Amino acid sequence: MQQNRNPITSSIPKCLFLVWGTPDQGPRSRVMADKLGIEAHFVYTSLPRGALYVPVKYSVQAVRTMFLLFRERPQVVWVQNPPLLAGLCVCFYCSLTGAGYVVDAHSEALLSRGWTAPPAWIKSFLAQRAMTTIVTNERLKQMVSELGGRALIIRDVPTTFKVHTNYPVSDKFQRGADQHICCRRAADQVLKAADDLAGIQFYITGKLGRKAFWPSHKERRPTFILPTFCLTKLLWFAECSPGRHVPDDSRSHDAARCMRGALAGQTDHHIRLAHASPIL
Amino acid sequence: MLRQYFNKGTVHVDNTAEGIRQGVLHMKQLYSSFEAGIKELQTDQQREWQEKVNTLTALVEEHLAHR
Repeated sequence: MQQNRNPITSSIPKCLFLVWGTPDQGPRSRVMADKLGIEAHFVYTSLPRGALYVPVKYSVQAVRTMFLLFRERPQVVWVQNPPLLAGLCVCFYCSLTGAGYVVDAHSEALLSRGWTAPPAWIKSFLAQRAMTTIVTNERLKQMVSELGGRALIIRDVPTTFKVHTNYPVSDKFQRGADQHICCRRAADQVLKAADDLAGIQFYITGKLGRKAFWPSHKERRPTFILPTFCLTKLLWFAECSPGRHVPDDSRSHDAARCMRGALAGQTDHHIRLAHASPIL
Repeated sequence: MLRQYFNKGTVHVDNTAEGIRQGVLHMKQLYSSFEAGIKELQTDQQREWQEKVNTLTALVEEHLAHR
């Protein structure tokens, strides 16, 4: 196990950051682990998504997690929630060894219908035994308090990203819009606004939407030119299949670095802040 | 919440084509000021992060001390 390399956390001898999922499924936890100097462990299976596979997947992940924890013997475990079961495995390990754990609760863990289905007493059990639960806003902090736990708000994890590709920058005013965080209507409005902004070059990053995502601009969908789409003043690039996040957001970050501004939806603000581009 | 969080270097606009258009033009006009603002916000964030890490570290140390 990697020792902490961040001087801030150098006083904590053995830590481990546990995420149930692939690295692209826990970008916030991944960044947080990196900033804290803690090695992140991603426990996942190759089974497909779907409720049918959940019992098998979770069983396999639970067994792997216990092996991992007892092999590494961390004194403090950071665990991403969801899923709740990952936290329960960590809680079990901690109760046997005297280690402590911190829950990194993503908003959906406390808000999404699917993840909030487990009974409240299980959530309380986990929250009350955690050293703290990291949340992103006051409302979520209140929810954790109601469960009897204590919470710490970390709204965003400031970070910098390596740049892999330079996107063409002209003397035009560069704007970027991260379409994967926009709803269909918002994306449509961005495209309409772009129509009226001659001399401003737009980049749209993020995953390529489904066909239905672009109803009124279907006729303008450009020819695919690897790795970018190019059409007059709009430059696009597609990163992966619809419905999936990009394993590595490097292209978004590269584009953000080139831009003079960013157009953001409601989340993913770290991309823009990391590159210090004004936000619209 | 977003307005509170992005209180510098940011233009908040209506979710309409006209709102976005006006926002882009406004930002273009006062670009230097927005650029300085977002850097300031980044610095604020970094400071806040350091404080949170200190809190986390203290929590963990307290736990380890009582084991």
